[in-house]
Amino acid sequence: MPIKRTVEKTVLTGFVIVLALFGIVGVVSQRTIVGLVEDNQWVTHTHMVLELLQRVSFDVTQAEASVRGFVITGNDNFETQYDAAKDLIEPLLSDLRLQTSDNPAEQKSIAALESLIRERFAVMDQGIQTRKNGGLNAVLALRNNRGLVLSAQISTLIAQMRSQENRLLAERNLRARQSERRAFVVVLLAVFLAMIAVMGSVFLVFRDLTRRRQIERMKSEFVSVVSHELRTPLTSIHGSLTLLASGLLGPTTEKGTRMLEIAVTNTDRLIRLLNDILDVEKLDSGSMEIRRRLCNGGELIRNAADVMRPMAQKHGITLDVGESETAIWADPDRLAQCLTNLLSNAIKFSDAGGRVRVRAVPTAAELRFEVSDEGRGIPWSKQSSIFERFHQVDASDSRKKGGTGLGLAISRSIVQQHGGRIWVESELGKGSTFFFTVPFRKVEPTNGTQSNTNQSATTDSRRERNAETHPADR
Amino acid sequence: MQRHILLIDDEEDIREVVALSLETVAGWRVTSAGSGREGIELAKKAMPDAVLLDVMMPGQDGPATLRLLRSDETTAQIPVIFLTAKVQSIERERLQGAGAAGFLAKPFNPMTLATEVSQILGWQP
Repeated sequence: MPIKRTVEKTVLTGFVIVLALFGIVGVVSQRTIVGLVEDNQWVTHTHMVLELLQRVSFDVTQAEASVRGFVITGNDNFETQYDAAKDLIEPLLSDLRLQTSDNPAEQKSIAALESLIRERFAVMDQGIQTRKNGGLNAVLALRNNRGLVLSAQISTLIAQMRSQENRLLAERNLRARQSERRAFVVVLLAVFLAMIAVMGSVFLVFRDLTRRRQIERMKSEFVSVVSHELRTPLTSIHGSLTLLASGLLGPTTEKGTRMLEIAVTNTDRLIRLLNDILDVEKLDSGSMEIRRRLCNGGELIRNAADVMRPMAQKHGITLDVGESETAIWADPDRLAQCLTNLLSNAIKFSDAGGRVRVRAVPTAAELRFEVSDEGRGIPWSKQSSIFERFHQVDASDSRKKGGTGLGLAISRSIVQQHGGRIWVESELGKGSTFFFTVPFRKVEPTNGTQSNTNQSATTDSRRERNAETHPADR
Repeated sequence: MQRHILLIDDEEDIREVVALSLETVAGWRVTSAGSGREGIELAKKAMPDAVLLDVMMPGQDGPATLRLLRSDETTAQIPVIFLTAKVQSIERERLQGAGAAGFLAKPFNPMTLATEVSQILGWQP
């Protein structure tokens, strides 16, 4: 069915689109998160470099202050302070080198800074030595302003480096915000597209399902209209032929009578086929109602046997009807249809003089109906396919036996609608037994009221169904 | 006992077959009408024992004809049996509500038609 494929294709396409979009969302989210983590690391790193630079600057200033104090006062405490500051500067510088190892431009600045600072410390060492050896005047006599120049250079360089780092920080922050915004837009877009894809496929699926239902309704209408339209001419043909064949309208030649018999038999078959097709359509479309009420299993098989007795007599078959009084909750008309179907098959496939038995055997949870014959049996390979439509054991059977090929399929549907099972056990050359079960179920209140209001209609419908199913037997 | 049946059906062939069946098999008398309107007039004039009424007819259909028969006091008591090619039970319920005595499905068996009519109406064969 082309529409079925469309529905599946639509669902699949929608699914693939949504999956792809979620994939995109996943990748973008992952990349954004990784980017944010990286940016965050960079920001932390920049802060660290900034702090180190500040500490270097502070250390140098501290050292300078200590030297000045020592030169002026000659107090040893100042020298101790200076030594502490001097000891601290190398680790700070190596830390700084380490932190900026990835940035060649910064490395260059740091190298410059290092040499300036070393020189500055050398000048300060010299100052301290001069003070120790020659006193304050010796220092003053040096008239050396190299220290001041170096100090200014160091401050300038550190200020440059700090502003460089601050610029980097601003850039990194900007980049992080941009990638955040981009990720937000992509995720939002993907979610939006996924929603459109989902809504689109839901819409298409619904449209296709509606169309399919429409086609099914059209098919069902078509079948019932055709069956009705065929019924009108068939009524005239069947009526005329039956009256002619009855001989009531005057004698016919022997060959003529035979021809009429053939015509009547085949019209009957056509009518049965029409009724069965209508039944199958009703089962397919789910419009065959099961009207359950309390009924007696024994009565069902006795009634079915009564209906089939004329046919059995015609074929020279004895009907053996079992005793049973078990009550079940079922649709008696539909079960009668099953039983007459099975009995009709059993009679058709028995040899003259044979015996057909029908039983209703109660078990723990269900009532089991059994129809057995002593006919030719059904090969193992066909035992399940015979319940399919138009599947007969032998292709010539429908012609020879006048069946429609739908009886067992209809019976199976009816039994299944009652919650039961249908199957066959058979041995070639010895006969077959068809079984079907109807579970003992609790009364459902809705069905109960339904069946009560329609009780009178069912009586009529049974009468009518018999007329439909076995026009020749009446 | 000779019964008198009024048959209302728009299909001429079916009218003939039904008439022939009831006349030759049961020896009843059959009056035929090709439309609901004609049928109602004939019913008033002939006062049949029962009416066999087709459901699907152009113009005034079976249920409409039945309502008119019921609304006229001369014909209100005549039992009516529907002849219908529609076998769905929903359809049957609708017709049941219209006040028919019963249904006969098309195609019918001409050999047993009279017996079935008698059964529905409770007539002695």
